[in-house]
Amino acid sequence: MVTLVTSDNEKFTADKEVAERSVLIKNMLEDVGESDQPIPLPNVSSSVLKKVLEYCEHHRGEPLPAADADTTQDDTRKRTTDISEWDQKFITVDQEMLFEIILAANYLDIKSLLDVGCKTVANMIKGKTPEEIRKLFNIVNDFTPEEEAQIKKENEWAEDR
Amino acid sequence: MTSKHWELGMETLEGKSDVLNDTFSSFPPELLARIFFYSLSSDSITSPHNFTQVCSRWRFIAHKSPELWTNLAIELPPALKTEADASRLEELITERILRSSNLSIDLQVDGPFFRRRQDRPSEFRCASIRNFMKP
Repeated sequence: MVTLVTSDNEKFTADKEVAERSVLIKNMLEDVGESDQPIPLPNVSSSVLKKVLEYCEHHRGEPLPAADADTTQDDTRKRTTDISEWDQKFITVDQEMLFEIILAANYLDIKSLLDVGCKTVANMIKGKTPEEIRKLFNIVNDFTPEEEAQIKKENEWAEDR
Repeated sequence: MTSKHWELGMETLEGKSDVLNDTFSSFPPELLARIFFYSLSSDSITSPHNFTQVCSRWRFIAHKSPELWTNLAIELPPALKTEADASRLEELITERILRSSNLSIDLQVDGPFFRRRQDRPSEFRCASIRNFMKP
C-alpha cells in the first residue's frame, strides 16, 4: 500500500498498482525505493484526490499510454472526443471540480484522465459562439479595438455563407 | 511548445484578467491548447475557430499552438469573386500555414467543378498533402 498526503493534510492509502497509474507517483516511489514514507501531494486537495483515486481504481490493470505519447500529434487525424460511459458519469461534476481534476491529472501525470477532462471541456465549447463560451466560463471580453476589427474581418466570409 | 516559449509570449498579456473563474484562469497554456485541439469542429478556412474569438489569452495561445492549424480545408465557391477575395484567401492560407509552424498540413480543396459526362457539381478533393509548402 502507498500513503498519499494531500494539500489539506489528509492521508489516503491506495494499492501501489492503483497509485502508480500516476506517472509522478510511480517515479517518486521508484526514487524512494522500498519505504513506507508518505508521499506529499501539495498541489492536490483531498476532495480532488478522492475523485482521482476513484478513477485510478476503476481503470486499474489497463495498459498505460507510452511515456512519450503526444496526444495532439497522435490524434491529429482522428481528433475524437468520445468518452466511455463510465468516464462520462465520473466526470459529471461541477465546473470547479472538473477544472481541479484536470489540473490534478496534469500534475500527477495521468494522461487518460487528463484526456477525459480536456475532452469534456472541449465538448462544452464545441458548437458555441464566443459569447456563449464567455458566459459559460465567466470570461471577460478583453479584446483591443484592433483585435475586434481583425475578428470582424475574420467573420466576414463566415457570415456570407 | 516549451514552457519558456509560452512565458515569453505571455508577458504581453500580463495584467489582463480575462477569466474570472480562478481555477480556469490558472490553466497552463498547454492544457488550454489541448482543450482547443479536441474542440476543433471545422477546418474550413472561412470559419474561424470559436475559441480564437473569446479573449486575448485564448486567442494568443491558439495562434501559438501549431497543432491547431494542421488541417486546411479551402472551399472555393465563396471566394475569388473579386480580386479582394483572392487577396483575402491568400492571406488566410498564409496565416494558417505560418501558425502550423513546422508541422505537416493536411490540405483539402473543395469546389463546384463539373466533370465530363456529369451534369451536376461534384467535389474536387485534394487531401493529405503532407509537408505542403514547407521547406
